[in-house]
Amino acid sequence: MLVEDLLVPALFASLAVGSAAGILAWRERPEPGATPLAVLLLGQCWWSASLLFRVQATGVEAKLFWTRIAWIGVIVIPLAWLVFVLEYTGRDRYVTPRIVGSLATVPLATVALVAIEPSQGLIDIAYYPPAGPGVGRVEQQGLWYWVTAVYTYILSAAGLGLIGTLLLGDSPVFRRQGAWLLGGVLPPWITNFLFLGGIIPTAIDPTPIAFSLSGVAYLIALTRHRLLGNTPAPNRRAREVLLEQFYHGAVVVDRNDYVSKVNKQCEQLLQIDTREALNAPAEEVLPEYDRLPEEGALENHVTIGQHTGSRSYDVVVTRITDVRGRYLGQVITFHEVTGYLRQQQRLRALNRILRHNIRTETNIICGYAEQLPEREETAIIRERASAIADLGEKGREAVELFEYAHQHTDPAPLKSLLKRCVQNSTDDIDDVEVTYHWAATESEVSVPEMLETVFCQLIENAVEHTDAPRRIEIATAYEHGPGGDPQKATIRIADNGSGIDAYELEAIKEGTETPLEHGSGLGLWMARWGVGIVDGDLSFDTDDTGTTVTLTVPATTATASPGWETTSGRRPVVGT
Amino acid sequence: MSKENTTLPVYVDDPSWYQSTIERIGTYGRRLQSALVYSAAYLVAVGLAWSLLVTTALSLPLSPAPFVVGLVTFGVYAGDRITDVDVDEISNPTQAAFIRRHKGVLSVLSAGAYGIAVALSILGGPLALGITLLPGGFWVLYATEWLPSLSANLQRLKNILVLNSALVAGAWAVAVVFLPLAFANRTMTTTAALLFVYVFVDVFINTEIPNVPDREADAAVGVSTLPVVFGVARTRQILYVLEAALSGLLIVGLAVGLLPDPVAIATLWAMGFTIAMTVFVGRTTHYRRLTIAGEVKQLGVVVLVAVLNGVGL
Repeated sequence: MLVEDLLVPALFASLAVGSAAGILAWRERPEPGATPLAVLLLGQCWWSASLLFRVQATGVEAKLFWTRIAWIGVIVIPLAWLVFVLEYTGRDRYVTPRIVGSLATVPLATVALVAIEPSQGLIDIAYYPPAGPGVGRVEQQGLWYWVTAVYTYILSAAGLGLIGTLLLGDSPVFRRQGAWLLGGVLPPWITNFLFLGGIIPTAIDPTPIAFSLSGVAYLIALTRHRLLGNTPAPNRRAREVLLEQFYHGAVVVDRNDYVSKVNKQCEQLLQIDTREALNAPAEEVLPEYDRLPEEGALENHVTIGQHTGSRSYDVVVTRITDVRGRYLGQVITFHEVTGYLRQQQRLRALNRILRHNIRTETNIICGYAEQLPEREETAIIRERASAIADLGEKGREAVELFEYAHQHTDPAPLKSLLKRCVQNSTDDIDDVEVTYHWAATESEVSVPEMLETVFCQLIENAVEHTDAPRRIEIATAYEHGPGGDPQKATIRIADNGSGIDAYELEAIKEGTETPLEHGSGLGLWMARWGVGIVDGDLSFDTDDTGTTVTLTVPATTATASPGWETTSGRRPVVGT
Repeated sequence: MSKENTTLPVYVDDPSWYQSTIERIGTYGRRLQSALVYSAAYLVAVGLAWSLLVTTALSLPLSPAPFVVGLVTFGVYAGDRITDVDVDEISNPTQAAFIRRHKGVLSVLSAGAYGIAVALSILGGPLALGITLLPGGFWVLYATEWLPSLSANLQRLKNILVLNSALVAGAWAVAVVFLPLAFANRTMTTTAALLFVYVFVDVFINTEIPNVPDREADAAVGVSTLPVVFGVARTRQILYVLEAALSGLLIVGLAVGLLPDPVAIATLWAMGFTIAMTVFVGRTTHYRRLTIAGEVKQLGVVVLVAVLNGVGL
């Protein structure tokens, strides 16, 4: 009797709450899932209202009429639930007229059978008036009744499974939304299951009573947890968009080495047809597939094509695992490095010309000058030839700074580097007074070894552009990290020269030269490039009484590599 | 045992206490007024008044119909203000700011009001439920982008001349007149038809009056109203014609005894009020007040009917 007592108030409550939640859901259109959720709640209200009208109705025919009318709500709910879940979780590609139409076949057939109920026998609806006061009993049976029941449960379970994945996700907001959605769908489902199983032996199906709980859950999900205001719908599509718009080529290979996805970049890079590549063995689609590591970057480049038309790629393999860490497949990314490799080739050729050919040619010029009678002009020829050779040498250093910078990031003692640069730059000059102001540290501070080129250029610049008496001051300061070790070193190199021209500094600062605004040499450029490579800072404070160059670079107390002393400050280790 | 000295504040002789209390009451009063007006909550009373008038005029028993009308009115109007908050920012910035500030609460309250109205309407049977759902359905066709989303050839009905105001007036008239009938399980009568026309025309006029100050904003978003299409002066003349026709109809109703005398007198008074309001169309800047006055005059009508009934007229 409890169910009968609860029936009318609960149905009114479910109608009020369900209508309110339905309106709120409708207002959220066109958010994904808003329309089907509104339809779902409309279905619940329909069912509740039909039951209320059935209770109010007098006469068997009227009661049977409202019982049949209720079926519209009954079959709308599971279908709308599944469509809602598909949209809400970003699987809207399955919400097509064809698929939804197919899913609606059984519900529509059910409504049709209910409408013509007396003449068929697939669904039997019978009404038994109560013996005394109370609610009459409705019995619904038949083969199709059970087909519909099972079908309804399948749709509900499918939606439930998809929502279940949200509960295992990372987002607490979506987990809460998922939990409230379960709170919305489970009470009527469980109630109906218990009724069908005969565990709740009542005269009427109590499922609509549970809609009052269900409506409250949806209402809370909508108002407190922004059910339709913050949905996981974009995530699924975003993964595809990210893969499609990824700058590099990407191929997804499943655990059995079959290609399951190829992005557009990869299609172009590898010149493959996606339709043919999909589901094909990866070794037939991807070059040198058998050479790829299980994870990480391939040691050498993969080259496709021959001669001048060939293209080279850096290949990286990333494993895909499920939430339990089980291997699902891998993403193989192709990053084209053809341009980089060609640039390297050009640098090597340029390096050879600067290192060897210019020196050879200037030696020949000097040799011929030696054959001439000693005059003022022959001295000028030798001097200019030597200047050309020096310029070539500096150009070579600039080339090597880039080409071999990555080989010279090992730490080297800062003090020693600076002293060696001073020594190299002042070897042939007597009247230079160099003063050091070393910041006190407990242990020796090291900086990337390749910075020696930078220091040498700046010190050499200071010496060359200062007239006697030359005074150079070098000072260091350190910025310490949380552990007390120095993390950054600041080096100030000050001279008493005539300063650096503003247009030259402007070009360095802007990072570009024009035919009208350009520097007089490569030294300052090399300083800027070198500091940039180690992510440091470089600034100039200059006027006609001198220049102070301030460098801030990464520092460490790590022990210098044993071989650093064998490298010459002006000559980073040259490969070829 | 401890002793505590408690000094109670003595306000009696303190003139600042009066002032601050009055100021506080004034502040709360203004806040309440803003809340009632901007949220459309005052329309609950208007809906109740309309429905009570019809119940009295048709001699129907009291039913939940007036409450259902009031709740539906609030649900639709508050929902409309939430939906149109961006457009209202141009024509009614204070209201738009209020709606934005309380959007969450208003959204739940308006949906809840409609939900309760739907549940209550079940007591009146399937017809009452259908009538209760009708204003919501009209609003979907009227204000939302649902129709345009179905086809590029369709547009929301709010944009279409006359149909827009007719739809609003129709929704009011159906709910106000047919809901009490449905709850009382009565059929349509001539008096009910006359009341339907009265409610329809009165609401139509009250819908077009606020369109006068909104004409530029409406024109900008493609909404065709009488002031947009015909201009202010011609709109005033059209409203005069409608009022004259309705007044004539009410007089006929009174003459042939279709309406009880108190109802006929009160509605004729209301018509006079409406005509007086129309005089100000194009000649005032206080359209907001004019609109609210046009709506709440129904409270006056109900009071007048009660008074006239009380004096035995």
